[in-house]
Amino acid sequence: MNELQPQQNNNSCLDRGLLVSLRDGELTSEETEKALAHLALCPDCAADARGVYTASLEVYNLLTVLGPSLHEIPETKLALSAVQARLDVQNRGEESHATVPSSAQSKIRFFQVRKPQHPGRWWIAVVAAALIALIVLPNAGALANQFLALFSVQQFQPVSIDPQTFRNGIGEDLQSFGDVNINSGNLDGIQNPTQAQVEQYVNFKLVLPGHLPPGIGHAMQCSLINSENGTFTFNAAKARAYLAQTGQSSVSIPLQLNGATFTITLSPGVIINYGNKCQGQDQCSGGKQFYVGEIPSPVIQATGKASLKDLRDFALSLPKLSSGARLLLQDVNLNNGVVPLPIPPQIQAQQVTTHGTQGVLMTDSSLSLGVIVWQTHGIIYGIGGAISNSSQLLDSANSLQ
Amino acid sequence: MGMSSETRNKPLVNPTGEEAFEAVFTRYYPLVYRLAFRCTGQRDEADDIAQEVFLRFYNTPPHATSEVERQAWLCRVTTNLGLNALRSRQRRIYHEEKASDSVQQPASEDATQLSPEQHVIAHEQAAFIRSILAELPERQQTYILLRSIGLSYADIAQATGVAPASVGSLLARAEREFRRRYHERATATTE
Repeated sequence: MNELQPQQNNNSCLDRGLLVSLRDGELTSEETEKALAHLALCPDCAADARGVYTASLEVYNLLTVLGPSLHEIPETKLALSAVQARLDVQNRGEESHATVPSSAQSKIRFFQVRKPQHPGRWWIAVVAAALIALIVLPNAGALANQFLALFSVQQFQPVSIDPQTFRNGIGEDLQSFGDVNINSGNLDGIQNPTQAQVEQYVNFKLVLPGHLPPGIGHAMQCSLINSENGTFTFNAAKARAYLAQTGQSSVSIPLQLNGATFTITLSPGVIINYGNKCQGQDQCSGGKQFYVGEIPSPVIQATGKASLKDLRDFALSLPKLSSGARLLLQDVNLNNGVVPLPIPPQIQAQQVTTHGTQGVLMTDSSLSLGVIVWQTHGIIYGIGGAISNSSQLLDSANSLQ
Repeated sequence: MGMSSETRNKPLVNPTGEEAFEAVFTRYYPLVYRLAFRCTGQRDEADDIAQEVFLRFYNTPPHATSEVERQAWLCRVTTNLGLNALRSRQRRIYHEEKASDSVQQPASEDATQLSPEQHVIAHEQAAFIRSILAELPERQQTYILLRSIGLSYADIAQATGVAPASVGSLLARAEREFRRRYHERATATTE
């Protein structure tokens, strides 16, 4: 007898497979009738049946702890948007350059491409966070009420932000409001470029610290930061569907936003790592880690019928916009390009003056880390590492030439 | 997720059209996600698997002639990817546990409903159940998983390529094995 087939013993007793099928209502009505008639007459099988029911109940009760509960299943429409975005990328043959990932985490994951791969480069995450304020959130400072609006970072303003307040809020997922496309440059394969090569790629002259804080080795190596170009096209139908899903149907969408396109251009930049020995590894070794970053200010452009201000006003009209996003949006200065720099609670931040402009000095004394970020002549500079002494950091920043 | 015979035999619309893809996605995404999550217990991983399943569906649509065949294909691919992920996880946990006594991160962060203590207990329980599942022969894992998310015997048969009449016996054996291992491990843990 095939062991996979439901078996019945010679005396017509019901085997376990049949009892399981009976339990699951998977027998035909005739089979069910026969099985029940047998159970009524056969105490052994009836006991087996009770055993099967109890055992099965236990198994499937145990399996329920594996979840997910209903509210843990992502919204189908949002998931569909994420897959469509990936398909868009794939269809354009750009998968090797950029991945538009899934779920509400998508933008955060997107930015991991610019986040530091090494713990010592935490300050880049801070700069990335500032850029999130510009790119990920449906906002940006702008030359208000113009059809063609150009915006670039002129200055940073520290704003205390609890990172948690960015979560669970509208603004995390631009894809809910339109279509996002991201293209990256092709600098990934360039390893350990010389200063001259870097200058050729980034198209601006590097400045280097005249003196480094005590304990920092003088060997250096450069890593290029790839260029990125992102386009966001507002889609009113998508936005309406999302607003309906999130209980914000009452929000009106300005007509001019539908189809409006916003672009952000990030030009290539560089990170210079200092240490005692730099021999082409990922990171220099020996002594304290120290970095200098130089990245052209991102340029955000609104083309078409809506301005960046329109987009920001719309975002601010959303009742469920997270408090962190709202704070950042409100703090972008439309006239002078001052961008809020989100500062997590554990970081101490203060404004400092360096190279004739306002910068932000951030230190984390518990980890002995510090960085100064500022912008001048269209380049965002960051200098810092395993140094939390403010005056030593400022001295190095001032010595950049 | 059993299907009525009308639905089961319903002729399929063109699966390559954008609109049809949306319809398929909308219909099956919750099922695919649930199945992936049952295997992995991680939202991000379940998300990634669900995306991968539908990307494969889009890029290489199965030659399905009915809804049940289509669902079977989706379940099969999801289960394969999910169980692969589960196996990798078990291997990783094994090595990590050998290397240190570090605490694993919670699998499902349903912090809104559970206290931190309850959360840890729920996580440990889910990890324990998942580890028992991972010990079963792959076919048995598949039968139990598919049944646990509510698939009918016909759907399970279609997804696994066995005769519908065999599913009861196969499930019975898988459940018995799961239960035996559970009680063995639970007893060993309390001793």
